[in-house]
Amino acid sequence: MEMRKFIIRLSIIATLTWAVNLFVGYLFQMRFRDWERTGVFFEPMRWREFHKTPPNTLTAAYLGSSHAYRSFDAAYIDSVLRINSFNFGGSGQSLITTYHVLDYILEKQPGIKTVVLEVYFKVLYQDEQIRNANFAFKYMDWNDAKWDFWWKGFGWKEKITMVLFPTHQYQDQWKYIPAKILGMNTDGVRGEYQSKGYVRSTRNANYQKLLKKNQFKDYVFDTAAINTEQLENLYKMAELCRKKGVRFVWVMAPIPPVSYSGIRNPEQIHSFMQQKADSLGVPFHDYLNPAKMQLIDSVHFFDDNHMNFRGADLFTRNIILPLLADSAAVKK
Amino acid sequence: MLFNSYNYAIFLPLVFLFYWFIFGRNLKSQNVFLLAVSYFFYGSWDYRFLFLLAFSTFLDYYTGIRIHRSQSQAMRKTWLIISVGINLGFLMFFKYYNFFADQAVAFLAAFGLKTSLWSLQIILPVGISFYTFHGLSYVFDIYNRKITPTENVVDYSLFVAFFPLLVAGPIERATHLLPQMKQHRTFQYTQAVEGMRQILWGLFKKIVIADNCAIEVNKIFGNYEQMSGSTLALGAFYFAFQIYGDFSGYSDIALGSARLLGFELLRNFNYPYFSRDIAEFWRRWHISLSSWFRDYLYFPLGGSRNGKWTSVRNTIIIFVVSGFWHGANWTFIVWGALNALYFLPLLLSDRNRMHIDIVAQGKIFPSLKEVFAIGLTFTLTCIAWVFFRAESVTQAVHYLGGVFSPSLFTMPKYAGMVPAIGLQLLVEWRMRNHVHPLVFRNPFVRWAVYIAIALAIMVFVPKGESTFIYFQF
Repeated sequence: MEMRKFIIRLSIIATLTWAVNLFVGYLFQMRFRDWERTGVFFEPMRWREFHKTPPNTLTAAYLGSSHAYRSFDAAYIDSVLRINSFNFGGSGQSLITTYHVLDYILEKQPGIKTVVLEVYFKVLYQDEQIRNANFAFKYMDWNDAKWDFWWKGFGWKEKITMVLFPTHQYQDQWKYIPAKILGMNTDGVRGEYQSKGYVRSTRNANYQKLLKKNQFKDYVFDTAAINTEQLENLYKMAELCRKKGVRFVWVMAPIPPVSYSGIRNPEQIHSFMQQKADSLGVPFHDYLNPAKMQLIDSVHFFDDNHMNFRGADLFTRNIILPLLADSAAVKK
Repeated sequence: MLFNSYNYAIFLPLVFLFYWFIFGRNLKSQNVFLLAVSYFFYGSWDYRFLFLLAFSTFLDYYTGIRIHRSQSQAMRKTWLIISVGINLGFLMFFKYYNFFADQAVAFLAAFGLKTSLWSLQIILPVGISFYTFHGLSYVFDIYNRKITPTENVVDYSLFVAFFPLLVAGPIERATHLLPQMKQHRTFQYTQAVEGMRQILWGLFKKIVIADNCAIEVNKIFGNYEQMSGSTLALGAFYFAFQIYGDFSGYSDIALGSARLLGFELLRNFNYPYFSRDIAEFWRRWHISLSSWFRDYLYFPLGGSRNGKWTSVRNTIIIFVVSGFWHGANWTFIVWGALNALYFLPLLLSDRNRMHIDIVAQGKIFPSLKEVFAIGLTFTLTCIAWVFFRAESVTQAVHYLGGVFSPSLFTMPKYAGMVPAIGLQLLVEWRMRNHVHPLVFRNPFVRWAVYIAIALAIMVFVPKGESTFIYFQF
């Protein structure tokens, strides 16, 4: 009798807690609804546009993290090279997610002949999936690739969290609620979604602020701390492209000079990535060092990590166009 | 398998259901089942150490019987020495070998003798300090004729390996736990509810307080040379709550889990940061270890019976040994010695048992005198914690040098955790005469608090899995 009472009460509390968790999880997604309302929620906009693209019409794709969607102006490239390309970069996207995005887009658009991956070195350390992957996973149509993503792209604990505990899944959004109540702007200017996945930012970075607060200050690229699962997905992408006859190219986009000079061992980043690229037979174009393109902190960047539209224009025109000019995507 | 993991969240309910519904009919099946799941629990860390646990268990079980059956005192002593020697031998080898080897090399080098003793890559078996002390207390109690040994190997094995207390205590006594192992347990609603509340509060302290403090502590201690005095002081303050939340949180989950299965374990913490002097602090902090040292080291050494100076000597010994028990590092020894230093003035002036009641009993607020006493005790404790947390004694000294600098009076960085700690203190102060603070009369308030705590855990759990500090001991 006592046991029954205990189990019933425990079940009621658990159910109530779970229901409140659903509600709080809904509140925690308020920021995304606000972004959607103000037209700065790039992820669903990107996927909606992609899903409207007629099948078998894309010939090139750009993949990676926010570096990718802020660096490759797909519409400009298309207008010059007369190809049809699309930018699939996603915020903080891990290589596990990127692999599944690649798998998905190749299933949807089998005509893709060239894939350019922006290999942002920090994603090699990514050790969580539910937050970064959600921006891609949530907006994909259910097909074989998405199912594969569900089974292989998330651990069992992450699956439980995604299905049952939105409060935990969106835990880092809690600060937005008091900020919104107090009428504070926590997002700054995210940029403007253009088309074909590219996001344009017109803001210029403040040099003094970059000096004062910079995520790359005294940053050490530690190969021992790299998440091997991320690396495995890099290899899987190369293998998938090879199997499907897709040309696979790696590019590293520049970061501001102040940020670059904060890295203690930038040469290690280059040699590590070059070695991986060589072992896979993938061409690798490293422009992490902004001196290669003579970029300036307060002119070509909008924060300590990303280029603004001026930097992206130069990068697209001078680096990506020549790189794609002789690719299969163009030859088609 | 960590208490704050998904794995444990699945393991514990399964054990609960099987224990009460399938194996609950008789004592034997209850104990065999609990022993099996305890070995599974321990093996989930590293199955190789199961053999060590089994050997240690069998050793104490057997020597306990031999001590009891021996007719002569000499034989009793021989079996005791065998048990203590082998138990401490294992502990010394796994925990202290490299420390002593390094010290010996450094000592000989001071005399110009270059030696290279083997430095071994030894993995410390989880919980070895705890289950060794369990076993030793059993053997000591038999030797001292306080108990008779159990003939039932399953009961004794479960006493040593019972999963809630196996890896980080509380360090149980045979006199307290073994009788519970010998009695058929029946489900009791109140006990189970109390257990759940204690688990919930333990998870809150571990996940919301300790794990988030740990992030700030790592930043501050990792870059202490660049931090202001106020930030360093905040770092020490945070560490005090990190280790409290971590260890008392663990103990609460252990006690709560045991209650769900019908056991009452020894209380390990009793709101130590409300102590008015160091003597009171040590009656409220890691109680099972303090009392172990008192009963099996301090009293056998003579305690306070042979005059003041014997008492002083014995106090210094137990504090230093207690420090050394925590790990093979001079930082722990200094931490222990510093606590002895705090304690001695109270001992010498016969004021070490002045505060045995609950502070400000029956009142909402403490008196100014009590506030000052609590503040002073906490500050002294924080100074000692700096040695406990630092990588080396030199680092701790530099850290404290940085605290007591003019920048102590500037605004500190990383103050975001202060409100959460304040809330914890407020709740604990209000409920300080209860075993845990989740005791609210109004059922609506009670349920709202449960849900709020569960949500706080979901929101503030840091990314990645965090272990417990005391697992390394």
